[in-house]
Amino acid sequence: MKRYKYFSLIVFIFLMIGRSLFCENIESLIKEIFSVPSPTGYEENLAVKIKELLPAAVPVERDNLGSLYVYWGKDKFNTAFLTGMDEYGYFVSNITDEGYLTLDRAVRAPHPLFDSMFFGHPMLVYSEKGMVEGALALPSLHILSPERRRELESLFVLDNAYLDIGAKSRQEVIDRGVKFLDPVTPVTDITALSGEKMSGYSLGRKLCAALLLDLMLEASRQNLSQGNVVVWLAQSLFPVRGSRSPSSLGSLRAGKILAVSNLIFVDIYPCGLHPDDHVEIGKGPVLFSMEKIKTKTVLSVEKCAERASIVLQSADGFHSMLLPSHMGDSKECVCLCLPAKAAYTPSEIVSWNDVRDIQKLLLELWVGENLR
Amino acid sequence: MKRSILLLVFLYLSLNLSGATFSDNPLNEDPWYWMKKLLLIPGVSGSEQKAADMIMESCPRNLNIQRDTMGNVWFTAGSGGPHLVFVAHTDEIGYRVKEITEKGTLKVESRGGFFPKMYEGRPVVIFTGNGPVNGVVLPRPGYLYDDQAASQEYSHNDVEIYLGVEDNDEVRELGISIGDQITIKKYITELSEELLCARGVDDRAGCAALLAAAYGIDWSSIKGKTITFAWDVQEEIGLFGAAHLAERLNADYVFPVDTFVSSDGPLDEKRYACLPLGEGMVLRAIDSSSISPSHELKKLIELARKNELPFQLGNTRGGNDGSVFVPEGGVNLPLSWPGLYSHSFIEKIHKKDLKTLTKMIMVIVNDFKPELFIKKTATLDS
Repeated sequence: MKRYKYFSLIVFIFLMIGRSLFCENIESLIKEIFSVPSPTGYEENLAVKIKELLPAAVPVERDNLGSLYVYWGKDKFNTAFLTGMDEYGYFVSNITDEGYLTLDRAVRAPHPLFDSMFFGHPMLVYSEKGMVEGALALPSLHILSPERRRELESLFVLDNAYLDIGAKSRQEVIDRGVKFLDPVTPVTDITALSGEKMSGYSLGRKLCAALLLDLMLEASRQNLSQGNVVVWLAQSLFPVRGSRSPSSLGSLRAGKILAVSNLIFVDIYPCGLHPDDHVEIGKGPVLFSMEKIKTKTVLSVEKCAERASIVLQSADGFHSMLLPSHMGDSKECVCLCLPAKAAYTPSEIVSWNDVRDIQKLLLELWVGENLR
Repeated sequence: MKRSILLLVFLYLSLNLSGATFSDNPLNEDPWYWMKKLLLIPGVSGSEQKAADMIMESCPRNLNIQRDTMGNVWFTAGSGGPHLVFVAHTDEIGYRVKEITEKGTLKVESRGGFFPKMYEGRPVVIFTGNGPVNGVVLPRPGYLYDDQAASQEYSHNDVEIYLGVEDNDEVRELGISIGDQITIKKYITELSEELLCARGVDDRAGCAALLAAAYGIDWSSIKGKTITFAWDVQEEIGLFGAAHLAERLNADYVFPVDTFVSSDGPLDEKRYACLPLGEGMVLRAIDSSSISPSHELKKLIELARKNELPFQLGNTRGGNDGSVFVPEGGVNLPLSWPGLYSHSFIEKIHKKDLKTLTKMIMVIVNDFKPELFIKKTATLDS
């Protein structure tokens, strides 16, 4: 009996150590959160997951949009690290008499081909009865008339998006628990590519969320004394109305709540944004600021990067929606971006090298004195 | 204690060595079971070996399975009388590597007909001599900023696969060679217990129906006729495997087992081919490659009715393997299930249709009354 107790204790300790190592590992964190759906306005599941992964002792606050705030340290809170929780996705906009679901988006598509890339793709509906598998219908090749074949590109638009969940009537859809406004995302998993790259739907944004989670876990593990705030934003892809430049509702709201001097946003940089774009994946994070001159915050990030031997890429003509157009004179904002190839497609590609660089840089910025 | 461990080891070994777990598997006669096993195996036209291997390994052991140099697989039972050939194809649409670029990407050649646009931005798998390698089909240049790019036609020549490497030497280090087959990263989407969507239902469902029927038929009772079950290659690129078999098998009747492309999807015109899923197998009266003789079709209809097998009669587009047996003198009677979203990653099928199709194959083998037709007129000399 005594021997059994010792054995249980050893197993318990082993599992605890394993759990803590597991959670503090960015590879594991992204696996944990990657498949959690979070279309804009439906961030709740991811918010719950993030809270689960944070140490139990860390208090988490939330605003009325659903953004999560973690205030850490005993000092004055100086810097806020922010990223979006939401991703591009769909919701059920109607149910046809034949049992198909029509889809809509809460936010504008990131590019004109976005919707077309999901035709013929397996999708998931998150209903109150659980996940329902479906597939976004497309015309059968063999029976397409030559005229319709010529107009094929114009067929693949949201107006023609019918999600087939195998139901034959509206009632059957309802019986399966699916209803108007249920969120819908494509079926996806992480594909490991050669050269330390990987791909997946919305992988870049999910990695940004995982990076801040990792930062928070590291602050907790090392018991860092510096006072900072970490924020996971809800509705970060939803634009503020009445603003001249496209700003994110989630980040603007957070900016008004936070009483800090520096706001460091973490977002993705979509490579190939314009014909002269030279940003590449695997060549380092992209640093972006709205200011024409180098602000103190920008200089601090550059200094930290230099200290950590991290090469930063710069980008012209980029505007992260996360970066609010006006945050008040007392706050400085920068955006640290993870370069992504094939951004906003079913297979967004990122490089582990860039992920690790941002991971290192965020920790440097957290503990560094430059921002204080 | 020791004795019981020894007993367990003995039981385990005897079950495995005798193969009892395999041959007695009650799922062997279930085409749905076989189809799900076959769906995830790659088999782009010309590279069907893995699928054919599995079929050879899965066939009942007492049958004499053969394979020709093209990769067609078949067995023949019975003797004399009319020769009835049932054929399904092991290949699927997809790509193969055409070119390795200097920047370490792949250009491709299509195998079979499909919308290249389906692949844009999707994950793919390249099957190399060293094993599978993952890739991503890059979206067209300018897709983020050029509205015109979105409205332009996307062709197979536009398909470019990114692997994560920087140059062609690195690509070769991954084991990739010209000609390697490429498929989409496959998923099986189970819409319900009876409905699924996946790449390759066309024609792994047909292959599965033949496999399941092979287990359900008492081959020793076949008298006065010859029956061949064949799984052929290269259907999608021109019925080449079937043409090879047609020359060799001298069939009196051929029953190609393949998809009936239904127009019952939400984006299809309903003028013809509008057969619903779940209402039973399909007797394919007319398609782009053949016309089933009406008097022979009647026999099948009567057989289905007599055996209370739900069936549907339809005409559609697309060809079938049986059509190349017709010039050799065979009667072509295609058997199908209604399928939606043909040649896509979400080809849809209903379990009931596949099960009735399998039963129909067994009924035909056992009860169909074939006739012997004149294939060649006598020459003047004879």
